[in-house]
Amino acid sequence: MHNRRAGWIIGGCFLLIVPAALLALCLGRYPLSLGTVLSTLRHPAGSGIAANIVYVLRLPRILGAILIGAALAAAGSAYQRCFSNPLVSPDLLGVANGAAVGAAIAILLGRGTWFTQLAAFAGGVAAVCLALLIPRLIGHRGKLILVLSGVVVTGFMQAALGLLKYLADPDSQLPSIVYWQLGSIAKVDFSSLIAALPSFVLGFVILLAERWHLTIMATGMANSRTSGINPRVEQPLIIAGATLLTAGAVALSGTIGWVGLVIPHIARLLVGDDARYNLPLSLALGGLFMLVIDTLARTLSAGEIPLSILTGFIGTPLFILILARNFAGGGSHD
Amino acid sequence: MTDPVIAARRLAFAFPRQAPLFHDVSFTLAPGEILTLLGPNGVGKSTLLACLTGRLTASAGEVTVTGHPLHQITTRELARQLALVPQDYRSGADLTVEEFVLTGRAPYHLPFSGPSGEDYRLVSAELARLDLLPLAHRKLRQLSGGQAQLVAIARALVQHPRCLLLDEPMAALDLGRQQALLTLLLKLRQQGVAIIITTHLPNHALILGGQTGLFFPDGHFTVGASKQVMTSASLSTLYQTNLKVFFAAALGRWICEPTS
Repeated sequence: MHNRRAGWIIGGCFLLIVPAALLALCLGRYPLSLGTVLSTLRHPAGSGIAANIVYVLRLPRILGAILIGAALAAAGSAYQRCFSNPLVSPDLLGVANGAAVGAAIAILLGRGTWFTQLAAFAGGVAAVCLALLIPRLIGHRGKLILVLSGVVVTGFMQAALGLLKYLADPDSQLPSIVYWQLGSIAKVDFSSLIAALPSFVLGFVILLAERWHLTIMATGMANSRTSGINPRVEQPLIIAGATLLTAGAVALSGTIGWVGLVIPHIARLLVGDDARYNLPLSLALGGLFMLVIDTLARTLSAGEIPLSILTGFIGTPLFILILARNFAGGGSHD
Repeated sequence: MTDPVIAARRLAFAFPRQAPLFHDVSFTLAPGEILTLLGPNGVGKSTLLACLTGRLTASAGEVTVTGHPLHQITTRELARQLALVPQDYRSGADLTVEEFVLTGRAPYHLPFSGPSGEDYRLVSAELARLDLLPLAHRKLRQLSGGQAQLVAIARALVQHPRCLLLDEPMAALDLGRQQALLTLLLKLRQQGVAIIITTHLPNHALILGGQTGLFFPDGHFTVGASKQVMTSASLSTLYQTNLKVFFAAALGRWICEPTS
């Protein structure tokens, strides 16, 4: 029958986000007691230091962290299945850097947060199209070629980002691009969250609605065809959904690596590879993971540690484990 | 005579900038008929199956499924008519046997929905029929080649196709399992399923009866009643080795063996 164990794990992880978020509201340079936090939350109209810290500083940041982590992990899980390739993710495909170029252009032009969202999405779509085009041009398809193609696109987008920084006004624009690009949730406020919300909602809805077909697409192109799925129709839809999520996250916080690659694999260890369970669990785990990372980033030291530094230190050794798992015994590398 | 489930008319296929792999392949298959495809390696047996299931487009000729040209049928509708057991049945995903077999039910699911309790029941029944039930919760990649082959067959069968296409399904199976699969195919045929199967063992074609199609190395294709087209002479030409088709009294059926 249906996988009841997976259901419990997914539900548990979603529920765990609530106490984790409450704990994160308490922690910080100005510690608050749980009682203070709860009473501040119960009286939203209140004022004073506690209300200021909770509503202006910590709550938007915590919500942002949860949404960004969930979005990146869900996008990673979807890309991996859609291309039947466990080695891809928003950052490895170049989508995150493409979205960063789009968002940086918007910042340079001095447009608002809505325009930044759109530009990030356009940049992400351009990057994923490029990453898919290269294997076709070479006339060779395989899991490693797509990953290498993502490396090429990432390099290109980083160069483009470098050019934008070179062109930016060093006094006003450059610092805001650099700060945002390092990957920080510190500047997230309610208005930028609201601007990102449509991308997140649409992306989550598309991917969750397609989760059963994602499972089938993960078994390979030929197999999805004989199962009655037309990849030419469904692949673009899934790419659009996953790219919306990536763009939404990047526009808020810059590129944060490794989450989209590693979290779906951790979810796989817990509930398997079926996207009906893997995708919701990736979403919950991604949110939880990012919340923990961001809380560490703002409490570990007096200054802020950029998030990509922490996710990189955790993500890279895990990626080696994933490689070992996928390539052991010449298993499924092509 | 009943309407054909699948028919090919003057089908040809060539990869870009290459000589045609085959040309002038025609056959008609009614419900409950079996077509066995024989031919040496690389003559295009799998390619023909790809053309029949719409994965590749033939360079000439036409495929019709239940009377409709292939290009007029949606992928979803086609998957309710045809099921393919591919030669490379390894899956890219790390699914359990049950999850993988469930993907065969996808043509019957509404968009944006998934398997129901009924689908799980069908899958369990099919796994039980193939003696695979104890493996239901094992990972696909932990199975032996033969077990995975049977799982791929189970996946095609839960699709409830009107025509089942099998690409060398016997290759990984032991002798006992080969016999069991032959019996299963004959039973499916009685239930009105049309079957197209490729194999390297002419004896399978003789056991299954029905029609046999021969892919000669020069791209020539012949099809007809198995007993008529499978002669010592035609099979010797087909495989470029001396073969003899004869009645084995001890078995009570015709068999094909090398003479040397």
